[in-house]
Amino acid sequence: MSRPGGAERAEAFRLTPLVPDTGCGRSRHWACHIEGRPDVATLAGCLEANGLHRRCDHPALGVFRHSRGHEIAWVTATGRIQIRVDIEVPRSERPATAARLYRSLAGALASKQSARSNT
Amino acid sequence: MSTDYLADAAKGVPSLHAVLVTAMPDCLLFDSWLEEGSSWQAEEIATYLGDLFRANREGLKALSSWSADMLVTIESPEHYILLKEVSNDFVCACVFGRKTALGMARLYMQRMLERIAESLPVFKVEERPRGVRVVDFLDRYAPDPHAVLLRVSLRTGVPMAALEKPESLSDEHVAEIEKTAASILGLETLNI
Amino acid sequence: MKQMRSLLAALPDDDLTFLGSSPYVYHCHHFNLFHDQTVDDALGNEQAFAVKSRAAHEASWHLLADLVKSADAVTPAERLEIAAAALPWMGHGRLALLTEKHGGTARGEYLHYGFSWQEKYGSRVRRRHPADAFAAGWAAAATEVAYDLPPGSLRCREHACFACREAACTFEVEGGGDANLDTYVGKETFERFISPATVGQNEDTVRKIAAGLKDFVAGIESDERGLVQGFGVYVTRHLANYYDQTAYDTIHMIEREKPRVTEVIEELFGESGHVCVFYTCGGILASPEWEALVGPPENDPESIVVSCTAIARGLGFGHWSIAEMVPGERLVLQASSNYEAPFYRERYGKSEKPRCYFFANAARAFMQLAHKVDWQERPQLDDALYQSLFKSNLGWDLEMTRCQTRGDEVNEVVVTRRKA
Repeated sequence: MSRPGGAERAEAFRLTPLVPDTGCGRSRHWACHIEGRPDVATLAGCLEANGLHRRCDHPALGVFRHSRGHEIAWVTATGRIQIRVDIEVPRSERPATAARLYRSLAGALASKQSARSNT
Repeated sequence: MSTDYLADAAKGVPSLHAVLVTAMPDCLLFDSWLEEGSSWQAEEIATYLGDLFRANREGLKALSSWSADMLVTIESPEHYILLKEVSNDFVCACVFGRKTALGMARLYMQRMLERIAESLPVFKVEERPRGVRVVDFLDRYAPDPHAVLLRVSLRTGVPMAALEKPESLSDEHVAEIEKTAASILGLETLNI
Repeated sequence: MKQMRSLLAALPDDDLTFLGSSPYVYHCHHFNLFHDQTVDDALGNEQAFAVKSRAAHEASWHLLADLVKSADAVTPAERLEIAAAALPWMGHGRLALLTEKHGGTARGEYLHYGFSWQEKYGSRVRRRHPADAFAAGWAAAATEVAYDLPPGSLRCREHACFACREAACTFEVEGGGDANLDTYVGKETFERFISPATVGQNEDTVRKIAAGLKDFVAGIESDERGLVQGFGVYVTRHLANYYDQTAYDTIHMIEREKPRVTEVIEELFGESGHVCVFYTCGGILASPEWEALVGPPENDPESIVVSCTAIARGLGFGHWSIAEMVPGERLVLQASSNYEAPFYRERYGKSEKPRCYFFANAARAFMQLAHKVDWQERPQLDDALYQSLFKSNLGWDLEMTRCQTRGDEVNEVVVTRRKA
């Protein structure tokens, strides 16, 4: 983003709405994008604060794992996010589980932005 | 698939997500209306709901408490699903969101059915050979339907060429593939 | 698991991977379930379980023997512990071995076959026979290795199975085994039967992508349940000899006892090639991992075939290469090495007809994915799409023109557009 200022930067990290993503498991994969490009440390910090740990250290890719088996994969170059609901979650509960993960990610990004805007 | 009479009937009905008309007794989708943006598979839903209605009807008949006016209501966490016979040949299912009170949903359905019934044809479902029905049943319910006839052929030894013409199967082969179909589906017998 | 990693070996130019001397490959649960189901359909549940658990026993025994040797494990307890830790690393779930010298019991959780069957089919079909023949063979072999028993002396039966809606999988290990450990297909066998690596079209691109994939998949760890998730797909690091022995023993039995359905079983084992390419290659192409490592897939048939060929190499299927590719018309795919032919040659001798069913049908599936899938729309790789692509209107004919099982230099399949 070329525009300076905290508010604009907060906008830049917004998530697009959550939609079903491609994948072979029914309702396990969900997609959104991060508008803007947070650096690896920012996103990793957000996710780790929410109880996920990074299980793939590739520079082009972050795969973060939740203690309950869910994963969030992030393509750093394009901002693509894939939320993967753990296979043990019953099918009927997968959309709601994905939505919870999405909300916690959005919330973490927003709080990170807010903290940065205030500094 | 959605034709004007269903869209007209559904117009303005609050919290209505789907209307599905299933041809009986084969439980095949005859016609449907789904709200815009729906990702539901009308064929699949109609088939399962048709089966459910049939099982309910047979159960009630066994209890001597069946009536053609019977309305089946399913309350899921997000939906009310209402099923009702329109005629001997058709069952109609309406799926409402739970924002609508159940009593209102029933009322809306009754009104819609009056309009829908006028547009449905009256016909006698053709009595098809049992072999055809077994193959149709497998096609509908078996996992990996792309390969199910190959699986039946491998299990029974009945050649693929014969299975691809189920109307011409011998009684002996029909009995054999019916037994195999039940086994593939983990059922004691096929309800066809 | 440190011991397993220490056993990792490869014939890198031939794109083959080994654990000790045992060949292994990556396959997803869709492939695994379809493969086992075909054995069940052919032989009936009871005989199929015996054939599958025997194949698992024979494939596992050598790996387990290599493993305890490399770890210098001396006591039965140490050895059983190593065996129990190895299975999760392979993505097969957890198996507690409670066995003694003459047998005992085992208890499984998240076992790959039963668990994934329940996920894929459990809501549609009631299963009435156990699914975990691989774990059963593993338990028998592990007990033999742990107690230095004669190889093949034990057998194992599964009494309760998660796939049958039971809480856990339980097994009984006992005497009376019939596994035959005399002939072994290991790394040295492969070296005898494969040919020097071929150079195909877009070789540099295929090689580069495959190398990246190999690095990436090698780093994937199983989770605490013993499940391995890579590219959003649940996969196993599976012993290739298991697939080969179950497939070829079953086909041979059908050829002897029910010859009129020989083509049917060949088609079904070929179908598992379609299943693998659709779910595994397709899943990988559509994944964020692929987008990050290679870039998003494009609607360009040649590029999709190149990618699928690289994926095959990356998963240890062998040195597959594109001899000719005419978009919309024709693909000639070769393999100077694969995991099917060396096993066949060693165990059964030269075949009179081509028998690399998986390789040949995978090539056809490459063309279907390359021409019929809109990759830019990020398709749902679900049953509905699979049916639309592979149930009918499969617009490609294939011919296995050369096959190492028949003694040819390379494996070769020609896929051509089906004439209307």
